[in-house]
Amino acid sequence: MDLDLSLGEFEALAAKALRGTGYSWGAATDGAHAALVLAQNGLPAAEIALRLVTHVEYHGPGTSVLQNPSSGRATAPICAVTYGAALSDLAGAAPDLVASVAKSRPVIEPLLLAPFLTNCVIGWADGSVCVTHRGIELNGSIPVGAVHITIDFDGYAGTDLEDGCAVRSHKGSTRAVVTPATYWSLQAFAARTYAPASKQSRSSGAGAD
Amino acid sequence: MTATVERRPPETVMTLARMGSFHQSRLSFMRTLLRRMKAERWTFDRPCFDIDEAGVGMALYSATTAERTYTLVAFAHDLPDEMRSDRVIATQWDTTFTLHDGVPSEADIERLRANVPLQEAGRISESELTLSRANRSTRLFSYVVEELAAGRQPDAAAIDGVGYLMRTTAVYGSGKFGAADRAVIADRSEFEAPFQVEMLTVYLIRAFVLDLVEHMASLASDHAVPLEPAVRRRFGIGNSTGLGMAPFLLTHPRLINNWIAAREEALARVRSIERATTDEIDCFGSHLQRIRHTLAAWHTNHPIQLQKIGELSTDLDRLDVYVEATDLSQRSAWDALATWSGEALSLEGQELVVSLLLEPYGHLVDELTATMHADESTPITIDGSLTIAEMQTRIEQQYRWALSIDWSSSSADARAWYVSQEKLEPRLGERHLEPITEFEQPLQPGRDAVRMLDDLRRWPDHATLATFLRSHPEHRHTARRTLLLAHAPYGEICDNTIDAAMLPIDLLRAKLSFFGATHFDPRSDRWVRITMYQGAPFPHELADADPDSWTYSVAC
Repeated sequence: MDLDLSLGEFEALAAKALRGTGYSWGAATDGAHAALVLAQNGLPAAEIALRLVTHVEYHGPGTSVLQNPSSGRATAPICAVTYGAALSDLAGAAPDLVASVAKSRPVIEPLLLAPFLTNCVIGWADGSVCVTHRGIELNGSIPVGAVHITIDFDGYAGTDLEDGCAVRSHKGSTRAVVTPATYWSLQAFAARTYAPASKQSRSSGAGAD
Repeated sequence: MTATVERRPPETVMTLARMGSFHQSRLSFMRTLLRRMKAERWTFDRPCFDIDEAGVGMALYSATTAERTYTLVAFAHDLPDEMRSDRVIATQWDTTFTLHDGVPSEADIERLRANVPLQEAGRISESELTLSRANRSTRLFSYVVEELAAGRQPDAAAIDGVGYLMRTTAVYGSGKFGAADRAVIADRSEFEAPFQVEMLTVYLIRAFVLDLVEHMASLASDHAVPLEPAVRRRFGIGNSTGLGMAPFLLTHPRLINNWIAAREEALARVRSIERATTDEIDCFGSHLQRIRHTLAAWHTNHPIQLQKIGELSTDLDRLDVYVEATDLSQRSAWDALATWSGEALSLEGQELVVSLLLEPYGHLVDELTATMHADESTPITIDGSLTIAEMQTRIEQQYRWALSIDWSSSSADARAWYVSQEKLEPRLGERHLEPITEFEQPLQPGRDAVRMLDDLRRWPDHATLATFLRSHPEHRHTARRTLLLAHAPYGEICDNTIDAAMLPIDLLRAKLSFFGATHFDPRSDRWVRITMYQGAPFPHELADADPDSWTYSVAC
């Protein structure tokens, strides 16, 4: 039977899984919140998060280099969390640059990029997501793994920070329904953040004599 | 009201030693809840109480607002003495509870019966708001049942020696173990202030526990008597709290800022009063006298707390002398008193004065409880346009206290916060003695800020933070935190949270004082027992009771 997680439980699990895969604490927070937003929008966030950490486990997180628009089309894949966080940071530094660098490149699990952006359409070969203040709307198939995407800001002003939040929350689903297999796979990554209990830790917790 | 006296600065307020000396006040969450329940005329009911002579069964307690009903579902168990443990690693308890959102159906109750007694090993649903458990006080529970069964009231000294019949060992909310997330109920006015769901749960648990002890006595003897109302109110609910709670103050900077800012604003407003009225002076004096009774009933064997209580007793003597010698109706008398206390009293005494000063001024300060919540659902955006030079300046300003610490000293980073594999609970280990550094949680903002500053200083001043963070993602959490503090000045603890001499009980005391807890009794440097709701009116008494005055003891 599938597990019915609160969004808080799911976000915490995703953050630990990302951290367990080697993301910094700050990036893990960003990635987990992006996964949360996907869950709120009714997307299979746990499966997407699991695919991301599994991909990164075996292939690494990809490049962290943002392609300069003058140097042409980017070819090295980049993790959606790393890319989304970088674009979010850039939005304050160089909004015009966001639209330029973001246009076309391979991204690992690109649906996780959507919560970092707004007022744009992220497209791939057989699908797209439209990202607006109202939410994240998927059309076509869910992209899996490293997928070449385009981001179309035409008609929009780029990443929108007017309310101070690059990663938006949308009212929608209040739970994350996760298959046991996905849950325990994410838990396996999360478990890497736990230290084996020591005699000392047991003897110093609440209630100890 | 606009305060003319400035709030105390964060560097003064946010030290661990001072936070570990906070006391309950008008802004405490228990008092906020009781004021609201009385003002809104909540009604209470006990639609089911099916407990046998061994204390095994189930009960339901409902609290109804103008719009909704919440139901405490209580399961009572027969737990052998040797199984009773306050540890988070315990697997059985005397009683287990959940607060159901609404009126539970038969199917709900069967679902909860299969899960709630398991606590962490079970699952609750979005229809539940909290999950909790409590164990009997081995010293007091049986004694009280026996006395009531024999037709006698229990001895007041015996009650005050413990203060409670049961103590909770966890009250989980906010989405834990499948419960509803905070966001699901955040727009309900009754739960706007922080931790109101948890406080309601404990309030109803207290009512259940007192009913239980009377019920067991009545089943044991035909001559049993109920507790006299005044005796009944002497019982609070105990609580054991450990390291699981400690990181909360570090992981919720926006919320903590709002708690502390409200308290400091309240103090600033009172200090700004030009002249106190006679009633206000009398109210202050009355609470000053009553706090002595509270102090007399504050029992602990912990050497640090014993010393602090001793200092507090001396402080109260000094305060009495000061009040006796001072015309409190003179201009700015409260401001003068607060200034004097900062020079003449221990930290325990100073922070008690803060609480006492708020007591006469509900009309000025109670409204601040509406500012104590925080929306923490979205991480703040990092403004990558900041230059390296600007970011350096921010860290140097906001973490000035951390820059004065010699981080190369082994005592400065002696500890590390981590999560144990065994119970998934936060732990504080000895970094230089245990292999835990690789599992370290980001709960040492001072050290991390200094590390980020060291790396920033190697970059050109004009480079952007966005560029820096692409090369140094390990500083991303510190960058976000530093930017947040610009809007949340009381959001950071201005102390080293991994120092060899750091006392986790200071973190626990700070948080529990905002709950409204009393009788802090540290059992080590990292867990504490407290009492909640001692002296408070019960649900059936609330309509005719003062929802605030119970927090200070009265003479026997």
